[in-house]
Amino acid sequence: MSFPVKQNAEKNLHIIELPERLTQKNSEELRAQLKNMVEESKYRLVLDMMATKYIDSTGLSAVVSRIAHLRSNSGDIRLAIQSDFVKELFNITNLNKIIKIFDSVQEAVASYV
Amino acid sequence: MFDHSKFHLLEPNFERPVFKITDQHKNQILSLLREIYPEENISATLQELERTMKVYYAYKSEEMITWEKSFDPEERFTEQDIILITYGDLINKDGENPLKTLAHICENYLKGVFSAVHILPFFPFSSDRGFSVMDFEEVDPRLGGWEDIEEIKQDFRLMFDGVINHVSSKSKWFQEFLNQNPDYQDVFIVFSTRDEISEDHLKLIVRPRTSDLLTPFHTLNGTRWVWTTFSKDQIDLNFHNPMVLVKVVNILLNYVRRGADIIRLDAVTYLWHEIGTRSVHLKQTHAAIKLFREILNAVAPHVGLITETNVNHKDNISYFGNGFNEAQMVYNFALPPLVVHSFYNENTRKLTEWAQRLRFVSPTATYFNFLDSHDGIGLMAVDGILTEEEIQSMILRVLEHGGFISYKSRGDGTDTPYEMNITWYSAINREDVDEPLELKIQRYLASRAIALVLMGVPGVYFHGFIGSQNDSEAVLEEEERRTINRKVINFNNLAEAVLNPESATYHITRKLSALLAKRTREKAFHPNSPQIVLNVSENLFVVIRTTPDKGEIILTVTNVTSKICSLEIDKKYLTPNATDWYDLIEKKQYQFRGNKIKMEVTPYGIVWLKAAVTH
Repeated sequence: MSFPVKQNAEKNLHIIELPERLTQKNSEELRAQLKNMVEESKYRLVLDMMATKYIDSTGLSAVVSRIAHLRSNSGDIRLAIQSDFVKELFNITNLNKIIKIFDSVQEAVASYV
Repeated sequence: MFDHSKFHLLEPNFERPVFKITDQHKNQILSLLREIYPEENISATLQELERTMKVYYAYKSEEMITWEKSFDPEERFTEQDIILITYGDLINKDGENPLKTLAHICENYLKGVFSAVHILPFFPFSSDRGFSVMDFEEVDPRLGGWEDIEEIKQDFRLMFDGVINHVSSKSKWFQEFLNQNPDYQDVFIVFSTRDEISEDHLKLIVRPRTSDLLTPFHTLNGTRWVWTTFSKDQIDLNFHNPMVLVKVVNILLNYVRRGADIIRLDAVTYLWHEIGTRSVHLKQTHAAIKLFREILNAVAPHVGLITETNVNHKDNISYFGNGFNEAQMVYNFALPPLVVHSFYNENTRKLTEWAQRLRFVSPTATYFNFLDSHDGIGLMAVDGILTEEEIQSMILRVLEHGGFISYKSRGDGTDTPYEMNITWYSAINREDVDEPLELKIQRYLASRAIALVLMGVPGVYFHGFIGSQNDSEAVLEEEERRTINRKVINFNNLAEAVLNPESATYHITRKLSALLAKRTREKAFHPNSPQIVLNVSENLFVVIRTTPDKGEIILTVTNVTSKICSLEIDKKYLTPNATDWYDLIEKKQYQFRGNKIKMEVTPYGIVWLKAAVTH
C-alpha cells in the first residue's frame, strides 16, 4: 500500500498525502514510497500533512529518510502541517531547522521555484 | 587479592610525618596563583591549598606511597589502555544497585578488554543526567554506594568527572546563597539586575546553548540574576573568588581519595568568566588547569587530567599546554565526525590529511581517541577541516540514519550545528537498508578500528560496545535529543542479545572485544610509539606504528568502502629488511618480496600487518 500522490506538472513536483496518524504501523510505507520515488528520479516533493494529527518517532524518521538523496539531486522535501502538536515535534527534534514547514499545501508548492 | 597500593585509607593518618611540598612545586603553584589572581594577596589561598594537600596525603596508604615512588608518568597510558565510557546506571537489573550490576559486568566480561572505566557523574544530581551535581561527596543512593565504586576499582582504573564549571541550583552551596549566607555570596556570579551586562557583551560570550545566560532567582534579599552557561539549573561557579578554587581542589583530591586515576574536567572551557571577553579559553582557565595538574603532580602524581572541550581542533589541543604542564589527555573531538564523513563518502582524504597533521604531544600527554560518548558527535572541531557543504551533507545523512542535530547560538540571532545525536552503530549503518548483518558488522568494526590505530588512548561508549541502535522514542518523550544514545538497558535483555547469534550485539561484543584485546598486546600501539599516516589511497586509511626502539612495526589498513581496494606501498616507509609479515586480524602470513607491499583489501576490511624487524 502507498499513500496517494498528486503530480503538479507546472512545478514539476509530487505531493504525497499523509493520513491522520503516522506511526510505526504505517511509517514503513512512507519510507518505501520515498525510496521508490527517489529511484524514479522524483526529487521535488511535498508532504501534505494537513490531516496529520499524530506522528511518532518512526514517522519523523520516515519523513527525513531520503532527505540527503533528494537534496543531492537538487530536490527537496517540504511539509504542509496544520496540527500544532505535530509542528511542536518538529521543533523539539530541531527538524524544523532543516526542513521547510508551511501552513498549507499551496504555500509549500509555491515555495518551489 | 586486595591491592593496598590502589586504595586510600578510610581515616586520615596524622601520626605520620605531615606532607611537605617541595620548593619546586610550591614555587610553581605560587606562580600560577599569581597568574590567576594578580590583584589578590594569595598567601591565604596558598596556605589553604597546602593544608588541603596535607589532609589528602594523610589518607594515602604506605603501599600507595611506596608504589607511587616508582610511578613513571611516561607509562601512565600504554597500549594496554582502553577506556569504557558508561553511566553508572546504564544497565538495570531487578533488585540490584546499578553500580553493583556494572561492577559485575566489568569483572566478569570486560577484564582484558578495557583497562579503565569512565563512570559518568554518579553523584546526587537534579538534571542533565548527572551533570548538575547537588553533592560532590556522595554517591547517588539510586545508583549504589562508594563500596560499589571500590569493587570496580579492584580490576580497573577509574575516571571520574570533575564537573567544576557549575553546581546544581538544588545544591547546598546555592541554597545557602539563596539564604544569603555571607560565606556563599561570592561563590557564584551574581548581578542585581539583568541590565548589568550590556547586550553587546552578552552577544560576545560564547556558549553551547541558546538559553538565557542570566537566570533570575528569588533570594532572602530579593531577586538576583545569576550566570548560568548551560541551563537555569546549572549555576556557574565564580573562580574569581580564590576560595572557590580551593573548594574545587578539595573536591578533586576527594575524588582521588575515592579512587579516581583520571579526572575528566567537564566543560572546562567555560571555567573563567570575564565580561567584555568571549569567556572561553581564557588564560586564567588554562592557568587553573595547570594549577590542578601541579597540585596532583605534587601529592598524587598517578592521577591524570583529561579536558573535555568541544571546540575547534586548534583550541581543543591548546589544553595540552606545552605538553608537560596542562592536561595529560585531550578528547580528540575532530576524530568522530571525520570518521563518519569518511564512511559516508567512502573517501578518507579529509581524515588522512587531518591525521597527518596530528603531532606527537609529549611522552606524558596524548589524545583520547573516542568515537562515541554520552553526548553527540561534536561538530565544532571540524570547523575549518570540513567545508560547510561537507558538514551539511553529513548532517542530512545522519537524519536519514534516524539521528537528530543540536545547534548552538552564534550570538547574532542565528544558529550553527553543534553536534549530531545518534548512536555510533546507527551513524555507521542505516537501519532500513536490506544488507546482510555481516556487512553491517564489518563496516562497524572498520569504523572502530580507525580510533584504535591512531596515536593515543581509545575510548568506547557502552552503547557503542554493544552496537545499540537509536532510541528515537526517548527523544520525543524526554524532549532531549541526547537521550537517543542514553537508553537504560535491562540486564536480562542484554544477556539475551549477547547470546543470540542473530543480533548485532552478539557479533559486535565478540569481534570488538577481540579487536580491542589484540590492540592491548602490541607495543607499537603505545601512545608514545610514533605514527606515520600515509596518503596512498582515498579508499583506505593507512597508518604505520613503530615502537620507539624500532623493534616492532605494524602497518594498519582500513577500507572505508564497500569495494575491494588495492593497496600498494613502497617499502621505504616501512623497514627494508622485512619480507615476512603477519596479519594480526586474519592471522595470516604474508611475504612481500621486492620494494613494494601489494595486497587487496576486502570491503570494510581491517589489516594489521606486523613485521619483526631484523636489525
